[in-house]
Amino acid sequence: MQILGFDRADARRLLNFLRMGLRDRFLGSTLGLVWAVANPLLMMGIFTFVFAFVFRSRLPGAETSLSFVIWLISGYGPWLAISDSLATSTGAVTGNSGLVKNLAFKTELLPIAGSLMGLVPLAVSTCYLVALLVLSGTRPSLSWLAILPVLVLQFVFITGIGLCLAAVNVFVRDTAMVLPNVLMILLFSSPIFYPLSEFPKAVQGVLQFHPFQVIAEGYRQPLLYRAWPAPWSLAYLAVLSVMAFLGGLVFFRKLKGYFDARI
Amino acid sequence: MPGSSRAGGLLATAVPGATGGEETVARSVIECRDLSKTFVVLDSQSIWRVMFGGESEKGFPALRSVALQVREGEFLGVLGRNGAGKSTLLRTLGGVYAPTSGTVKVAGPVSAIYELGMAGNELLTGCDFARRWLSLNGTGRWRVDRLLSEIADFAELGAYFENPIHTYSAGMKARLFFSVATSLPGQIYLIDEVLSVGDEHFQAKCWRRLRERLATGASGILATHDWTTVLKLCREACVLERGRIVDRGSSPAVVHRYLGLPQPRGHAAAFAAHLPSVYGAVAEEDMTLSFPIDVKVSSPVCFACSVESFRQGIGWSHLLQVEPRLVASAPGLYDIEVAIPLLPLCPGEYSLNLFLSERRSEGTFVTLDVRSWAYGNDVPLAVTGKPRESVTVLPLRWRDRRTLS
Repeated sequence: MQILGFDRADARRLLNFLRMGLRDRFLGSTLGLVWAVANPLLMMGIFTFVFAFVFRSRLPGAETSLSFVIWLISGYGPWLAISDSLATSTGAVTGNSGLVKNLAFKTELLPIAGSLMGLVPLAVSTCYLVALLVLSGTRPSLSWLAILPVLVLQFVFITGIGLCLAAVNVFVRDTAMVLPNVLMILLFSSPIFYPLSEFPKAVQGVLQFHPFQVIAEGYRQPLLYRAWPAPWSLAYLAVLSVMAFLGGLVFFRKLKGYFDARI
Repeated sequence: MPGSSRAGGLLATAVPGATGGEETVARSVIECRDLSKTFVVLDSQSIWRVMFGGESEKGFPALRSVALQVREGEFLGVLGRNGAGKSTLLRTLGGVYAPTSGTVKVAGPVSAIYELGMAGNELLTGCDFARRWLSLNGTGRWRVDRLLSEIADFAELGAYFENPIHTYSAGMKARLFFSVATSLPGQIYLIDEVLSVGDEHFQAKCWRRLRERLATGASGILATHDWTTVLKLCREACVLERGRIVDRGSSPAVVHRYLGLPQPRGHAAAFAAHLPSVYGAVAEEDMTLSFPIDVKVSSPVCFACSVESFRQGIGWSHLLQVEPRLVASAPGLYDIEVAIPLLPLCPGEYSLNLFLSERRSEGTFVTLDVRSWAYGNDVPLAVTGKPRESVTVLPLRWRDRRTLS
């Protein structure tokens, strides 16, 4: 059975690459895999400390700054996963040139596996968030499960972009250098650190359709407000994701014939 | 094909003991036709053109309409200098590179050694590297565990097997890699220049491993510039030059031409044109062979001959040798007859090597004409008869006595 040109052997190989990527990233460090959890956890901890105790930031109309931190992390966690996914998948082909030159396999699997690596920080931040929610007295709710479709769509979307970037990075290595800066700009241009209402009115209408805003809201609505994300936003995200993924896959497959000129 | 020789299968002797005459055609495991591979040359402008859907017109042809076939149980030698396209050929056959045009058919799982130290995260331990290599090549986990101890054993790394690879010496890395890449039996091997690594002891082990694999039905291609390896391992070979196969045939003949060795011209004396192209004999019966020669000078001409055999993975070995004997000292046509009573060879195919030389007064010999595998023009000797588990049949007498109770 084949889906989009991938078969069972590819699925097995994808798992292998995932395991491999996870291992290699922390190989040689004493704590090893502990870092996969510790890194995002430290980041969240710092944010909690800074915004809750130093800045004492409040959401408009909220009484505690903890609610701001919860709001922030429910958007920042997925963002952390996105930037991790993009950074890993962009370097996935160039960083594994040894494999690409010595093993007959579908190179598409490398950026896909790279993108899925973002699941780790996402899982950590979600656990952290749930802990904060419970601490602040919120009872768990079934509506929290609504983040699952958003999560799937997020990874489909990011994998598509990651496939493009990975292919481009083979030819223009500057891609990996520019990426962190672009990500930083994207982060501050999207309503992740400050609510949409704080943006100028003129921009708000456009920002509603910002994919990262849609994704962030997809997590915030169920986790914070026990509401399902707006159906239009899910549909919009679904269309966007499928288009990004298929486009990325087609683009990658077109360019991979030229990889041997550069790797 | 330029320089193609006569039937290569006949020339190299079969494993002695095999039933003579009956030849079954083994299925081909690697086959490619009209295979071309062009590497696109990208400059700062064509990169963008390619990315936005255009084509690049500049390219470097690394392989040009290559056709070859490897039958089950055979190793094909691919000779060529650096940059001739050997590695590209192997990678294209192995599926790492997509061919620009032409077809590739490979029947079965491939174990490939394109270069030493692939996928090298040097922080991995040898054991982890082996595990990773095997699982990336699609080996199930329960099988990996069984293979690991065998790999550790063969690589002779001892406690180092559990140490990170960056602590290894170059030889240890080579050993680890070779052991891992050849740990799966009965596969199709694509091997690039690896038998030249490691110390003598390990090289000998590599040979034994490849011989074992051959004996259990492995096949493959060996790409190298080391012609001695090709002579030992491969019955047939081809020469790659600038991406083209410029010569092919039996390994000795190809190697001979590859090295550009001079061929005696046979001015003074030569084997006559009607020298049979194949000789036949029956095992353990009296054999008489006759060799017509044409002598054009009046100097002492000597004749010598030998019977040799080729075994894949081992190479050539002498079985019988007749010392040089004065046969003529005046111009004329001669028939030299050699009679061997009760031919002590088992049925099979052998290589008959014939030498004509001039004896100088100092006692040295000057070669006048040769028919030998080393020159790629030996004469096959087909021996038929009752099959035996041996190579030679000697008039041995056995006596088994108990000396102590």
